Amino acid sequence: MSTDVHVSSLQRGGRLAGRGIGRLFVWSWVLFSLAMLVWLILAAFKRNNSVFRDLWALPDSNEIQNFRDAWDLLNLARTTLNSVLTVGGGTALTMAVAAPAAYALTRMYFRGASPLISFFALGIGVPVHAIIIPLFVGLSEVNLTNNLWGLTLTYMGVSIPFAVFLMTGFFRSLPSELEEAAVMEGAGPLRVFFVMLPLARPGMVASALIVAVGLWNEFLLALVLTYDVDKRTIGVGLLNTFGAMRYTSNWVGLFASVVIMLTPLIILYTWMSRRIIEGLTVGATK
Amino acid sequence: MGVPSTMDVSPPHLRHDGRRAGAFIAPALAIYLAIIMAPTVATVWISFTEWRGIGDSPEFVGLENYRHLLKSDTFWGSFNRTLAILIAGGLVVFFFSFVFTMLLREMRAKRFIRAVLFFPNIVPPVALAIAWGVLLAPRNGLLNGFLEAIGLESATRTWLAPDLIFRSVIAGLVWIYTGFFITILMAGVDRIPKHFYEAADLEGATPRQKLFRVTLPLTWDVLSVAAVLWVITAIKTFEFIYAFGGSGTDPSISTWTLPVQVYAVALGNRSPIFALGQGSAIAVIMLALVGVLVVLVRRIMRRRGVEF
Repeated sequence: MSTDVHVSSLQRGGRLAGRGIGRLFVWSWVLFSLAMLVWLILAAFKRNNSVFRDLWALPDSNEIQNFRDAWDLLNLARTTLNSVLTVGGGTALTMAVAAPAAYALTRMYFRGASPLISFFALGIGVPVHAIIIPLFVGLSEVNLTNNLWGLTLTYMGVSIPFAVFLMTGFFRSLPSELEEAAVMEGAGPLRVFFVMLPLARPGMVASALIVAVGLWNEFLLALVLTYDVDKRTIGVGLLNTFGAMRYTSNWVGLFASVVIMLTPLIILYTWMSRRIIEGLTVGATK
Repeated sequence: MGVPSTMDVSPPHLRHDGRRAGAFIAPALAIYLAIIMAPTVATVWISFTEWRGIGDSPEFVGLENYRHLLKSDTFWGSFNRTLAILIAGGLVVFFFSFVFTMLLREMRAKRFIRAVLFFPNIVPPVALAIAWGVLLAPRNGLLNGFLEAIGLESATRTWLAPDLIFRSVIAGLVWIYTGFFITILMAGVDRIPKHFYEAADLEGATPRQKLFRVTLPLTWDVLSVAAVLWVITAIKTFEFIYAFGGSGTDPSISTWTLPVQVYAVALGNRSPIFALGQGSAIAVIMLALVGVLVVLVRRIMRRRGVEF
């Protein structure tokens, strides 16, 4: 009996030690990620000739010049405008068509709704690379390549499957009392939709955020479908800045560019990380 | 994930015929068909032709593009690297995700940790590639610098050399995606009612028993979704590999995966070769790979879960 107790307390000790090592590992991973972010931000304020010589030094001067360089390297005024137009427009238009679709698919109870949801979900599995060739050819046939409208339309197309899929999850979970009351009072389908829409707001905000972040970070479609310098998005601008590094070696300018591109994301994330994270996981668990 | 049939539970006065619903769905469906589905079909067709793009007329060559690929070492290299990400990367990602999820369940700072680990998933892949490049740079990289600083010069490596660079790519992908899958698994674990674990604790269950008797069966649905998502993610991941493998320009062949090769042979590269037929054939193989593996994963993982 006493040996039993002895063994189990030994096991428990081992288990606690294991858990301690595990937690240490988790915290090292967290620290590693944070350290990398902090290093990049600090590096953006360093001088190019010393940034790699003394890796762990704090910036000794406020190198605002780096950010002026980054502004030029990224062609920031133009690329930001292009990104805001295509990402903002693409997100808004995606929501405008995906919300009614998701609503009808979950709350209008018609034959064929469920296979249609699966058909939309199928699009999530189609890699962009599998369609980019005919997409490029097709859009150039109708003069929509090298055109921000063409890019916006494409952004809608690639966002719709996920947005519809995510929002069907949200609409399905809404209570039906309000809907029934509206129908009793003789409201038509469009009126009922607008009665229900505010209830789905958290889901819509989450979906819009996820779509917008994905498009903001995207560069393949922008790279292939636009080619004039004044049509570039910020993602392509950053890629080109990175690619030009082997000629310019202006590393601190590159780091400043990264910081510029990350800033809106960090602000958004500290403010709404729970919404983004929970929105993204709702599709997987509902 | 199964989509529950809405027909049988629908309140009769809310039931509509398809026509009314059609008006709500038509715009989304039209754009979806035009931008995703039509090009998918077109890709299959182009893969049977030889075509240099606009100005050239496609010439039907049957299975020639596929025959060429099956004999090409470059293609098999890309194919095997894609599988390496899928399987080796997948095992590591899921191992870490599982261990972290179990550890985080009992940690107080779990929301903060989850937010930090998830963060790379909202950062532009180019920025991640830049950070990863700075970390692993051979001469003045952070990792080698750190190893030297703590007296482990012998552990420093040329991480970006051809023989190691693809492992560095996989390590980067693991760093990025583990946070995503932790988040998904945690959402599943959080749904398990606490009293299951309390009961297990009262019975004196070991952590391993809790894992296999409580956590795994009760998160099986979520796990199956996560596995499907991993298949899709692993096969289509492109931006990080492209930007990291080429430091912002055309990546070296030793880092090519299927999507990188599609881009390289069809549209990209400093001097594009516009081999649209061949690029499309690779794209079709990618699509087939996604399709087959998704069906396979769903079949393997079906119906082992427990309702609660």
